Amino acid sequence: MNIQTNWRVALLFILPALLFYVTFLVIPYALAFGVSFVKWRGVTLNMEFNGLGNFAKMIGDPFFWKSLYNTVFFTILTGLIVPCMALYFAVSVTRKLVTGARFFRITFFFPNLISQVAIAVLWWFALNPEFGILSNFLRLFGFADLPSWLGEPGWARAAIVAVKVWAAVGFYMVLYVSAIEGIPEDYYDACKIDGAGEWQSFRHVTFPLLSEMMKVTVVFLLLNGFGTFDVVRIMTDGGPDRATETLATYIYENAFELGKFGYATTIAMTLFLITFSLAMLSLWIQRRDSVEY
Amino acid sequence: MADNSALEEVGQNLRRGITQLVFVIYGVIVVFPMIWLGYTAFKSTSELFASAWALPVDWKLDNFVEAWTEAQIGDFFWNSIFVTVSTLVLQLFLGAMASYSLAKYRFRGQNLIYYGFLAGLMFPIFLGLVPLFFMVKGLGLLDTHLGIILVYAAFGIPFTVFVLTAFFRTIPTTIMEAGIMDGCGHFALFLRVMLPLAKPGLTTVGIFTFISIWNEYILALVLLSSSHLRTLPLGIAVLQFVQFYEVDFGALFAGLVIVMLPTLICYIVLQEQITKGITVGAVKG
Repeated sequence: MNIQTNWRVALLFILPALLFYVTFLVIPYALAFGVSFVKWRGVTLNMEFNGLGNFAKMIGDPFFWKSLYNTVFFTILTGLIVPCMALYFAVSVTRKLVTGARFFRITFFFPNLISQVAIAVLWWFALNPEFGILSNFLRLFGFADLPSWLGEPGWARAAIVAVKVWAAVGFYMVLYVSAIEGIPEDYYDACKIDGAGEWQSFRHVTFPLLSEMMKVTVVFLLLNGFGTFDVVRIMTDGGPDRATETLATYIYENAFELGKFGYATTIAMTLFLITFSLAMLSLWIQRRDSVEY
Repeated sequence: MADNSALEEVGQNLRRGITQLVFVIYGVIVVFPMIWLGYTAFKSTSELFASAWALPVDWKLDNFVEAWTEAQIGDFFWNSIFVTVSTLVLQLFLGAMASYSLAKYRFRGQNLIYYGFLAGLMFPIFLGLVPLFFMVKGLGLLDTHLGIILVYAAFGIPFTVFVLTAFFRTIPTTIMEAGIMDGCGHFALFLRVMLPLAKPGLTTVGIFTFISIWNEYILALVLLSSSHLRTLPLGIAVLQFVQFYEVDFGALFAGLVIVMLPTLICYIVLQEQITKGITVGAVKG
């Protein structure tokens, strides 16, 4: 008997992982669909079916809209800034347009190794109006009357975006570097023979051949942007005046601080549906045939 | 003509210079805050308020001692080590067995299970957070290290299966047959022959699991509440919340250094492998 078709053994091997996966992922995610339709407060399991009541409440909840707006704001800004910076760095490093490329490749990745919590606390310190490095740096140039960066809505939002960018750029740079290194050198040689400069070879070779990687990037950035939690929770806790509240922090607040478990899950479901449909939409828009080389 | 090419050269040098400048400035923005954190951890709070830039007058370890003992960072550190190592062992073992089965055996429903596992990579953690909390609570595992280890291992399975299934597929089936011929049982074959062959794949998954579990915050926040059980990120976050009112930053600075060092050292030692691992994860995903 062929050993590979021994399904009893195969099942025994897969069963433990499956058990864990079903218990802690499949069931909770499946339940989330149900829980978003119930009214459920407090610690006991006395749920009350509420139909679309939770969704109606959500639509009338100004804080929900504010969190949604902020989440979209953070996602769009980081989604534009991060790939542009990462691509610029990756091209400069791989096309040898910069000295010390190896050093920069390694150091730019540092923030990706640090806990989001540590990054948030570090920048919470660095943006302190009294002893933080930003304020003290600006004072060197004679600026006085500096704002409390995390205490004013506009600055707080900008700070969250900046810190998210700081935390993410290195990762995408590494992705792009490896994709660019996979492009055959002949393509660039051909460009050179045709008299194309760096910009033209970027436009006609590098960028089109990165399309696969760009699909991945969009999905990653969507998931990351819509899940914004750690940095906000620690740096501003959603403030001031909910100016930096995101869907994720609002979900957490509703569930684990106010005990509105059903309502929190309704928002989480909305968050999931938005992320999922945007991811599918972007994959559909970018559905061109992939280039083989 | 000669003028033109000279002009072009000036332009090219200028562009190069600007690029170099951008890299240096961004490099400073990335590295300087960490360096600042590193030496500020040796300063007292009054020194910090006196001058933000100055190096410490004398490099005292007071902050680290205070952080380690009074602020419980020592406890959090050992908790993090325990949770991370246990998760690593459990997740790799479960994941490797499942991947091996998916890659090397043929049975009905195999594809469904494989893609079912991979779907786990797409779901945002917040969607299942409330039911997960009650699931863990219902199992009597809320506020225990065991509970969080089981949950971490379960959440790590999609990534493990994704990398290791691809890996096991590259190992020739003839090795399995030879093993069975030699009288190995199925499990012994897996443990003694296949697992050692999968070592490079296990290492990749292991490094990433270490980094992500060491840094994890949201699940720890929801599943652990006792202060003596906190992991480092959770402990640091609570400490920051308290310091907000007490204005004694020394211990917090020192705590940050303690949470950041292990992963940075890991990266500096295993830099090549980590870079390769990221690419594997993204390109095939």
